[in-house]
Amino acid sequence: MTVYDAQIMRVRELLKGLPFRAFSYDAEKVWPENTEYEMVFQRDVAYELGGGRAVSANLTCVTEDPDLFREEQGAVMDQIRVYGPELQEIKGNVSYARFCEVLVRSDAAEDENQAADSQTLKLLQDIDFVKFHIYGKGFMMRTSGQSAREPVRVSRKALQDGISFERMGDTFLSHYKKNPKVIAARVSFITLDTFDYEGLFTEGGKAVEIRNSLSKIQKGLPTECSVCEIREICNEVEGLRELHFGRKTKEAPRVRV
Amino acid sequence: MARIIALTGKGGVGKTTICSAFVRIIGETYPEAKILAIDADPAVGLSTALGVEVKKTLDDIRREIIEKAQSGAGREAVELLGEVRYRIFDALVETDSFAFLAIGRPEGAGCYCAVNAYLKEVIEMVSKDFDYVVIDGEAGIEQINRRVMEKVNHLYLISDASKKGLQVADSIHEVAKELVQFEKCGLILNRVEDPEIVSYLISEGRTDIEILCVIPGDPAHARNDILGKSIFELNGDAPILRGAKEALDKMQAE
Repeated sequence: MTVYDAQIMRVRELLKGLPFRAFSYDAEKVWPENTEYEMVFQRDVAYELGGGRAVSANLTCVTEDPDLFREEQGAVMDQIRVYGPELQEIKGNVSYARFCEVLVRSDAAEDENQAADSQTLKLLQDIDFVKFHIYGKGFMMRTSGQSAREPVRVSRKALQDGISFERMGDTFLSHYKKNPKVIAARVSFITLDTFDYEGLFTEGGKAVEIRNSLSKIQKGLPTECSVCEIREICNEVEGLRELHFGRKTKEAPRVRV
Repeated sequence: MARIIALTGKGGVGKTTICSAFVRIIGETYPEAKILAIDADPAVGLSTALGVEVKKTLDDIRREIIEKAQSGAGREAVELLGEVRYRIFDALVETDSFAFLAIGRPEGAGCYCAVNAYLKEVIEMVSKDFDYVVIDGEAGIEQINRRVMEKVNHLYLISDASKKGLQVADSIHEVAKELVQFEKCGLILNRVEDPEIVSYLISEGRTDIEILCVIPGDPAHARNDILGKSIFELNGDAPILRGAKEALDKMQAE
């Protein structure tokens, strides 16, 4: 599955050269969660990531290519990266982005009983929808289901209790690890002034478009590209056309714009 | 789980004012409590009574989500739920003592079924985040009939002393007994100048609902209304506030 590989490279380009702190996964540091979505009220909020005039964005990409992980980390391993100040260092509303890269087994979307496009869509949804099930105490993520916005309210109490991006990263990783198809993941939190948030937001929008296209493929689309409604995204995203035509082979023609 | 308080009755009997009084009294009595005031009356008015400005309504959000979903963005149930949670904050007005949501009204003529159904879902979804949810219901019986307020702890029926007002309250009470799961229901008689009239109403069998309090007309409040001032600008010993407190205390007493 290669549908997100180009996006991973583009976002890494946006992050290139920016300073970050890296942390390994530590199950002991997973930030505690509520059992269900809990509202952090304005009166209890210390600040809002992506709140007020600041912007927010999120993107989760799935890949089968371990070299994408080795390339940057030297080894395939779970990692948390913090670009910019930690939660304890932030004093007011700041722009914010979360970028998750998830490496899955090469056979993760292979099931003889299901079409390749259905399996790929389900895999992408299972991994991306983790964001709707993370209820960190005092870390209220307002994740849009229709765009890539994701402002987060951080409570004063959570800050007193020691919340950090590092620990929230452990929480994300602990969720990904519940999926047996996941080999490793990297969670990056970004609050640097200099980052191109709108660039990541645009990529997030494309990820939604890719999933929607897969959903449309699943429901049946014409096999004549000139009359197909998803031809633009199909032209742009490597691997989509292969899924559409049911040809999940490395030799299939790939088009990248 | 939130304690859900709903107010309903005939139009023009002071329902919205009493609702705003409830919000003020609960906030003053329990400063730590998380209170959500919902203006479920498409006629709107609770926002003015509470002194908040509405920028978006639930119906605005409902339409935006439908438009997006129809265009193909985020159609899975979990995505739509995420979108509701995301956008609800655009409609939620938060103050230090309470949060506020307005149902709004669909554009143009037509029925309110869709927005009422949506309101029911939203009440269920957001109420767990609050200690108190105070709902200023639509005048009449529609929202009871449509089970928008299906589960309510305390149902307050508001009426003046008029025969019509009491008939509407009685009708709502009868339907609510069938369709609403409520723990307690009581009647507030508002704008009653002569307290003796209550004995007369009871002796005449005009209502068999428990009368929680009788509130006289209040020139200070009427002046407040004309000036567009909120309930928080009313003197603390105003009859409307004393009456609302009496009603709340009676319903909350075990």
